[in-house]
Amino acid sequence: MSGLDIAIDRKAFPAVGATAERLLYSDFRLAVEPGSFVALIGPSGCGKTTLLNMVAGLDRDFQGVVRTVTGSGPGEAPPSPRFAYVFQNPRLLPWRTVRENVALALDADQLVRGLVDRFVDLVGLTEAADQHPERLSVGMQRRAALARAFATEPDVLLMDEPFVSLDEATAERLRLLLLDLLAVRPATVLFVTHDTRETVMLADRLIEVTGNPVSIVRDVRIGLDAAGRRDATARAAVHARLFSEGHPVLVPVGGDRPAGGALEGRR
Amino acid sequence: MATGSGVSSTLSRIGWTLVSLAALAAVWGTAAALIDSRVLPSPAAVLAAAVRDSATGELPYNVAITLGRVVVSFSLAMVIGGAIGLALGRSPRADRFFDGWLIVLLNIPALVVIILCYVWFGLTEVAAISAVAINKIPNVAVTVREGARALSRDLDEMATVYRFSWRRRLRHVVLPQLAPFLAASARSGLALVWKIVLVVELLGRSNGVGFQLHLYFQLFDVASILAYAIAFILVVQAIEILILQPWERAANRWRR
Repeated sequence: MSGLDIAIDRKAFPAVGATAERLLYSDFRLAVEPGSFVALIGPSGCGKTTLLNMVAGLDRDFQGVVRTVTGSGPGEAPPSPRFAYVFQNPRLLPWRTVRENVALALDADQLVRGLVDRFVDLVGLTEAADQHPERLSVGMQRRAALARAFATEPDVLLMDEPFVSLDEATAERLRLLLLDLLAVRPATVLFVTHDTRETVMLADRLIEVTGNPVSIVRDVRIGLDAAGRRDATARAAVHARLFSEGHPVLVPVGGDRPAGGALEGRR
Repeated sequence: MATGSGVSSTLSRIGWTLVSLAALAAVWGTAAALIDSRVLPSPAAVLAAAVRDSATGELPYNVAITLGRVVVSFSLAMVIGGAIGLALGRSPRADRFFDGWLIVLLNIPALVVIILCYVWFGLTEVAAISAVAINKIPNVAVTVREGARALSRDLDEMATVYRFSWRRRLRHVVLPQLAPFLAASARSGLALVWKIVLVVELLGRSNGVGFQLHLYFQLFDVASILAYAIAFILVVQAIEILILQPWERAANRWRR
């Protein structure tokens, strides 16, 4: 499994017409340990999605470097780590069925190993596998996007508010599904959200940022175990501790930076 | 689209088309009877000419030759024009540079292209096919360019993250988005291409419907001219109904 070592020296949106240049990132550093679930929370439009795009290699117009850090576990050194990205919109191909959408993201070996059916079943879309996405509910489309992401066996999973604009009951089911999927197929997750309750339920570590340019104002461990994440009372207690008035600001994460080992440049 | 329209409305549409065509034939027949001249033969005379040339095999042979030229030049124009349109729609710089060339090409009369091709490449099959394709390529390019400009960036990023090969990207991401534009240029293209093929055959080929029309024009045999024209209209309509329309329906099946 791979962690991330993110160092954005400078990222700006260039001036367009009357709009002046906007500096989003300046000397931003973030290390994500292999196998951890990091939630990034902060005001809308401050550049959280841009960060995911830079990590995913979709936005290459910045100064800095995003490296994947290999964990110290035995035999864990993927030559080129796989990224999966669950976008705010499911971004399924509307002219392909659910099954085809998942299959198209996989390589030949993964197809042979039957990962399409396995993950389509795991997200509960067995019955809808041969439907086109636009005939499904929004919640089912998001399930399909999750199946696609996990079926590619990612080392790093990027998620950009994947449960936004769903009714609460559906969102809750999908969060539980995400926990189940991560139990089956662990990955390092960088997760952008606005939802503090979602953060408490899913993340190991909360990074709170402000914008212009983005800087980290708070970096805390959440530390719920698998049972605690599913326990409303435990979640409420942690949520109260973290998000009540006068919450602790800038609690540093104790010196457990990702285990050294081979650093691999991605670009 | 015709998905939800049902069988009865399809039947009623076919019924109306038949009634309308029968009325056209009736007007033509009446006019021919009134004028009573060789220059406007009756529908029966045209049918007789068609039967006569079908019996000798001449009509089916020439229609097949022309159809072959239509298929080859149409396919060439769709592939080359589509590729050019895609490239221009994706690259604003290339678009700015080549836009002027497209405008020139769009405005060259078909006849000039045909004459130039015959002059430069000789009275050959290659020159004939090229002339037709060159006439159609700019139209396809302009239509497909519109579609390529509107390609979804979201899906493009998705394909990048999941490491789609260029072939997979073209087939599953790009072409389905371009399908309506390709269908539109295929429709107008077929109509344009077969008319140009006739001119090409008239000017420089020794077979095909265009050549036959030329022959019967010199003999002043209007009945035969109309027989060939109607035969080819029927063939082109059959292609439209049996190939293009079902393909378009299949391409739109995923829509709600």
